[in-house]
Amino acid sequence: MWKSGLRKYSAAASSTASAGNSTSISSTLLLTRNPVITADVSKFEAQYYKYQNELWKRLMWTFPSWFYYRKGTISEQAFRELNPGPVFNNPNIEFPRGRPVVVHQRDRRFKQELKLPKTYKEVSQEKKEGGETAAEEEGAKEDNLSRQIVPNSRITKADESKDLASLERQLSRTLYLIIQENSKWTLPTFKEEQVAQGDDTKDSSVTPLHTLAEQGLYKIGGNSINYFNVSNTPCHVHKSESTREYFIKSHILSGRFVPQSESIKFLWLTKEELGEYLEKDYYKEIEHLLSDI
Amino acid sequence: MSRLSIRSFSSSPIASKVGYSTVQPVHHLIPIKKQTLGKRFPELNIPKDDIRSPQYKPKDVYQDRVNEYYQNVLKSDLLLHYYEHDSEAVTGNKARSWGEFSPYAVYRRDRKPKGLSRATRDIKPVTPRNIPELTGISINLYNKAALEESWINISARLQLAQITNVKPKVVYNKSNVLPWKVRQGKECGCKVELEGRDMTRFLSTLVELVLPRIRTFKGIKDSSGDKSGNITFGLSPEEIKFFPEIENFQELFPNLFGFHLTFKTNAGTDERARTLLTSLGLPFYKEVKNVQ
Repeated sequence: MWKSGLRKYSAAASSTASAGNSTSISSTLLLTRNPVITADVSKFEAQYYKYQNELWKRLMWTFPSWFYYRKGTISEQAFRELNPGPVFNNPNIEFPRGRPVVVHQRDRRFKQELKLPKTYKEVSQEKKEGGETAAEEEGAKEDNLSRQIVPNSRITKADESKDLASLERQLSRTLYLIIQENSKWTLPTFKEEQVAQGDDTKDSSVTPLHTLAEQGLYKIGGNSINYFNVSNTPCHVHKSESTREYFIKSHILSGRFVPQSESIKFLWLTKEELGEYLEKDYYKEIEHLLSDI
Repeated sequence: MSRLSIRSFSSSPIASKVGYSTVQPVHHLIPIKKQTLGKRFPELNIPKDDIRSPQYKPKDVYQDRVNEYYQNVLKSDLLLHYYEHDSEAVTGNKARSWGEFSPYAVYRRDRKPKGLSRATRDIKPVTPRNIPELTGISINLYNKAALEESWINISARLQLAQITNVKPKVVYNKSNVLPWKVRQGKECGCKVELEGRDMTRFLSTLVELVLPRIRTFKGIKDSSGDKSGNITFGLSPEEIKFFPEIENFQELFPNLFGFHLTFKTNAGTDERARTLLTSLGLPFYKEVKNVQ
């Protein structure tokens, strides 16, 4: 069977490994907010998708209107009114751009364009042109069950007001939590409370790194955070002469970070923004852990 | 030159009959004389995924939300989740040798593995190269009613094509079982293999629109799986009604057929495949056996 023996990554256990000297172990929390909406595509990508999509439509089969709109029904009549057939290949007419090849009410030289019931954009534009007030629209929204579905904006209020502490900013990007306690911005790092020497061997004194991170998070950010710990295994270790910082990766699922003391400031930042706030060497070291999207 | 092979974008006769076209689509616009196909015309032997090929079919037709989520979020999480320090591959139970020195064993098949009739695979540690991934979804629809009336299979194929956006392949009976009215060579259903955007679109429809509306749905059974990371479950005709393509046109689908879905992964073990599918939004439940 797969070796599933739980490996304990604990602060005390590692400090015994570096026996004697005063290396302090701490747990650093890489708390992320995953992207909520699809990624922003570059101009080239957008053009590529559009090109492929048009090609796809060009090669599509004719829409089987005879299946969805039975002959002689009212819906068929409505469909025909919306989608009048193309000009047929009249032998008495000269077609300077080539003769139409019509099969099943479709000119097969081109992609088939069907007119469907109006989109929300068209409807809202029409309403604006008609001079309907916003209040009337809202009233219609409330009581009309079959109201148009209008997607929310990709740019939120937090983006507009440049509120860096909001979880609702940069919806298409991954955000990381950083805090400031003593005039220096860092990822939240929690040291284990000092254990009397000799106690290290006892299991009761051992705090696993992920538990340490959890306790620390609740201590500084309150209990209203619902988070998901990806793994008890640290994903990175930051070494300096006297410290070992183990990175524990988690995602925030709901709730929010509420600083428990007034001295704590916090921000939710994207990868590029982290580069501006963190120390350069430190950022360079952890850059590969951060998501580009 | 014959004009028959020009792509027509539809295959039903000109006198538009009400029905479902059962002819495989042809993706070429150039008339091809098959007799002349040979080494003399290399441009006609261009692979299908080349845009110059007459059989080219565009694939990246829109932004793939599910795949984006997998690539940007899930992949790194799964790698960390399955990281194990100093891990090595666990060798499976393999066929054994009969011993080197026996002259009787020279051309004999290897001994069966200990305690099993079949060899099992090695379980390799998860590395950046083999992070569990959903490689495909295969849908199998076995249509009992088609054994007696083969035209019923047309509506089964239409149903599957509507749901998946892929032309289904017909499945034929392989043997004769007379009490079940199974006859060799008779149509008995259809199947679809989904990949790429068709797969992710089907998955998101299933997870976001269909499964949440099934009242009795608890999840996929924990015990489902073929031991190498492919997980199967079934949907009944009543549950298929919730697919939006069917739901909005119920009068067009008087006969509905249930089918089996197999989620094909490269996870290697069922446990890993379950983790992957859970993270893609498919719930699992533990089956309680022998309750008294």
